Amino acid sequence: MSTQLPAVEKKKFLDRRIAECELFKDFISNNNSEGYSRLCHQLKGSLKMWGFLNLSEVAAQTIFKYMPLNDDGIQRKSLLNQELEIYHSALKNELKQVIISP
Amino acid sequence: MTQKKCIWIIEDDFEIQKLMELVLSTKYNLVFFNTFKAIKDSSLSLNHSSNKPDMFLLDLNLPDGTGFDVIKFLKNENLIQEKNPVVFLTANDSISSKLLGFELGALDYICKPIDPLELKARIDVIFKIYSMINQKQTDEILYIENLEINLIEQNIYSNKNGERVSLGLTYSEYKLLVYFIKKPNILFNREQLLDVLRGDNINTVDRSVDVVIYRLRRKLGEVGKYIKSVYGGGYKFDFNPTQNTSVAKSPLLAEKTA
Repeated sequence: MSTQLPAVEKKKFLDRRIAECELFKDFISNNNSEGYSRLCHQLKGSLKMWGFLNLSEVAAQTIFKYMPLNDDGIQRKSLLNQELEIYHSALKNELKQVIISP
Repeated sequence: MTQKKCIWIIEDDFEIQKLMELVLSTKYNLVFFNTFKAIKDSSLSLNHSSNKPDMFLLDLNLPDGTGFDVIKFLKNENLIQEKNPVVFLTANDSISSKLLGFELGALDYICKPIDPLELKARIDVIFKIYSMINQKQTDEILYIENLEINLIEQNIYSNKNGERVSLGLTYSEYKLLVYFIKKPNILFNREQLLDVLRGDNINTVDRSVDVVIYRLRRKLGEVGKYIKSVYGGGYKFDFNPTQNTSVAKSPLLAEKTA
């Protein structure tokens, strides 16, 4: 995707994604497989459409990796939290690269 | 200044809505609906407002239904007309869904993810095509007073007590009338008008024109008065579109006489 969206809007989008990680955490800790899946489904479309191809790739390798989720306890939760952490870091890195003109 | 076209967007994903707003809102008016229920609740009132839809952009997977349900509902309520293109924008790329979408009348079926600029380009093209089609259709129906000159059907209708009645012109009469209408206020001699009639297997002697014009005037009634005889010159359609409001409905005529 080669969209040239305003940097301010891209930054806001990434901020929303970073905040959304808390929601993912809640879904993982509450075994809310449905909520987790729905959020992943939305992210798949929006990350690419907003032009964040690298992030989309990271998400595919981390938080989308174990879809569909099945309830197999703490070990899976720990694994998912690790994947979420990697995705979260990628978001923050991406945010640093968004340059907002003065 | 022309009014912005309005697109009704049925999309439950806030981020996609936001993206569309960024890319499309400078050129189009956008009305967003998150759910099937939302469009059911507000479509009737919105359809009578300034936000009347010129296009529908439908997501397929909604929290309380599908885009297919939406298109069926809009059709049942007569909210979708021929001139309102429907486009699906969805992550569902199965061939069965695509076929069903087209079967239900969609003009395009776009799979997510799509670059928003490509989406905008596609929407622009659809509007351009529709505008060309609508313009062509408008050009092909002219109005003079209570007469409808239908170039598609090659027929002339009059409005008699609210009823559309064919004048029953012969092809020669029709051809001559259209020739006059397209070139108002120009004097044609008999030879020129004979050229128009030739090839219709009628006996085109010099006076054939007079006979056709006599019959034409009679059939046209009031509008017949615009066909003027010019002594020693021929005939002309003495008609000034700017003084006749009804002809404003006829872009072709306005263009020809501009």
